[in-house]
Amino acid sequence: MGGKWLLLKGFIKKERIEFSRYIFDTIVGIIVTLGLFLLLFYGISSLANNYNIGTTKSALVVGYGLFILYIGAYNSIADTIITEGKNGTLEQLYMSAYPFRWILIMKNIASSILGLILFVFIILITMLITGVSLNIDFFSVIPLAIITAPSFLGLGLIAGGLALVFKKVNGLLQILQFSILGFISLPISKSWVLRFLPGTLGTNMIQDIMVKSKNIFSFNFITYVELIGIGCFYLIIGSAIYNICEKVAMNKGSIGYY
Amino acid sequence: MGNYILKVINLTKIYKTRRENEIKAVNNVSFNIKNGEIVGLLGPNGAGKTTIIKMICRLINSTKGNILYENDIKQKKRLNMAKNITCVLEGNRNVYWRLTVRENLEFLSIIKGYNPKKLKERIDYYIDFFNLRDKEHVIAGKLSQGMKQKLSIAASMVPPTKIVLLDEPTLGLDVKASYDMRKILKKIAEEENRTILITTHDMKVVQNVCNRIIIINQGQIIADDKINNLLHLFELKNYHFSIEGFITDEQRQLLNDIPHLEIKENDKNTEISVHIDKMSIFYRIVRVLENGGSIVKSIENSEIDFEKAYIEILGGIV
Ligand SMILES: Nc1ncnc2c1ncn2[C@@H]1O[C@H](COP(=O)(O)OP(=O)(O)O)[C@@H](O)[C@H]1O
Ligand SMILES: [Mg+2]
Repeated sequence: MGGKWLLLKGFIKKERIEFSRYIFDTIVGIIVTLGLFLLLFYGISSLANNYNIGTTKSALVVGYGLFILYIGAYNSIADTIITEGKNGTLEQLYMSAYPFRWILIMKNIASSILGLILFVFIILITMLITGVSLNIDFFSVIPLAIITAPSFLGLGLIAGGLALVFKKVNGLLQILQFSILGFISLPISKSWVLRFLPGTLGTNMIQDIMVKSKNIFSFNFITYVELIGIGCFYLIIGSAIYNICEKVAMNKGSIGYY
Repeated sequence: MGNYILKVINLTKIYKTRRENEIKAVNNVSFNIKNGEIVGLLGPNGAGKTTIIKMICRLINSTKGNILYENDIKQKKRLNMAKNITCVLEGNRNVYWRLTVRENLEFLSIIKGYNPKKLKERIDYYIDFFNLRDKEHVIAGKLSQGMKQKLSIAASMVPPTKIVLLDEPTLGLDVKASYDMRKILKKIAEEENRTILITTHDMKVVQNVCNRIIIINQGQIIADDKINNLLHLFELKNYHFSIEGFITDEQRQLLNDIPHLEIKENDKNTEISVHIDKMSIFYRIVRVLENGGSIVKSIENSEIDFEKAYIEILGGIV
């Protein structure tokens, strides 16, 4: 356990160093992210001007924040494999004293912490700029955001596994990114199937809290069991697919072979 | 059992490529490495060196064969490997370009499971060892190729693993950096008390560094010996006798059936050159000359350096 803590601290330190050393990139990234969102936001608002879209606007802000958060969590895994593969450090991570999956997860947690900070920041800024008011119950939102994350970790493992075997997967990864946009914006009230998609139930609950002023105690026990079950399901599926891909890559000799 | 730290047994790797092609990159390779040995794995491009290294590091699955550590621990689990081995893979890309020299050494130690706070002394020792002190706080991306390579090797030395694998440490370096690197390797060989396996296609790299050389070609080991023995093997091969006057026809007949023997006569002397693989043939020639009463002015064995030996071994003469 001490070892894993050390590993997590190491990744957090590395993220922090790179974050501040390349602060310009970071700031440009945040501005672009915000700018794109505002474009989207005012575009949709003017289109739907004639309707009563107060709640839709709020949902949009929350949805976008969640998208930024989970796209980060999802990307982190595939990105580790692709970027470190290209840079040539992936092999060093593979020869680590920790199972590679732990490396991926620790790195993911480290960048998710950053993502969570970015999430809060973006929500606050967009509320300020757009004048949308939201229920800022981060005490309810953050734990839910964390319980929902394993689904996206699972998707990330699938993407990472594919990246390990097939080197040119950027197109595929983008399709998966768009699907994530779908998963977090589909309303589970429309059909019972939707709640079983990765992350859909959790993000709907977060929407309810922030837009409809519910809190973490507004949902019953069964819903939480479902939420955790769905997360585990996608994480296990993701791990299994990743394992198969890793084995294929080790046979092909394609780990970090860009 | 036996006194080894790394044992490679019947290692084979067949890459299956598309259209059902198969590439036999490594073919039934076996060798043992003793604790503290510095071994050179020498072979031309495409010989299978990197594939062997990557199988030892568990980056590639072998098709057949076993890799054992001391006490016969199988390398099936990646973590067994991780505890025993650090590795610098070919091509200058083993460090984080956005981190400084020191940050790299610290972070890569964590990856290997060591707390850098406890390795502070070692980190400082290797920063000095590799002459990186004035670059300690420079990001790796800004270092020269040679410096990057030194940093990669330093990163493989900082964690106290027993075995260090260096794949083509001079690849892509310019003449000066390559010379520097060879000096550093020699220093490592002299001062480090570790087991080191260096692969290269350039004999200059291993000539003054390794005490033992394994030569590999097309996935197979074609020689595995102390470097001196390999050289010795070739010293025996080329002999040159200078004889005052001429040899008799009888002597000529006796020498006739020795293969690779050439007799030249000029106006006063006879020169005999011979290519032999057994000392007994050498003595036979000496006897024929002695019995015929020839006066041997000199016997020389032609200068053979390792480079020539290597090329000849690859040519399949041995
Ligand atoms: N991942 C791979 N897939 C298919 N063939 C490969 C792969 N890696 C290496 N090879 C082939 O295997 C042989 C040995 O390659 P390698 O181990 O890189 O040799 P060396 O390091 O001695 O130059 C070469 O013919 C090479 O083309
Ligand atoms: Mg190679």
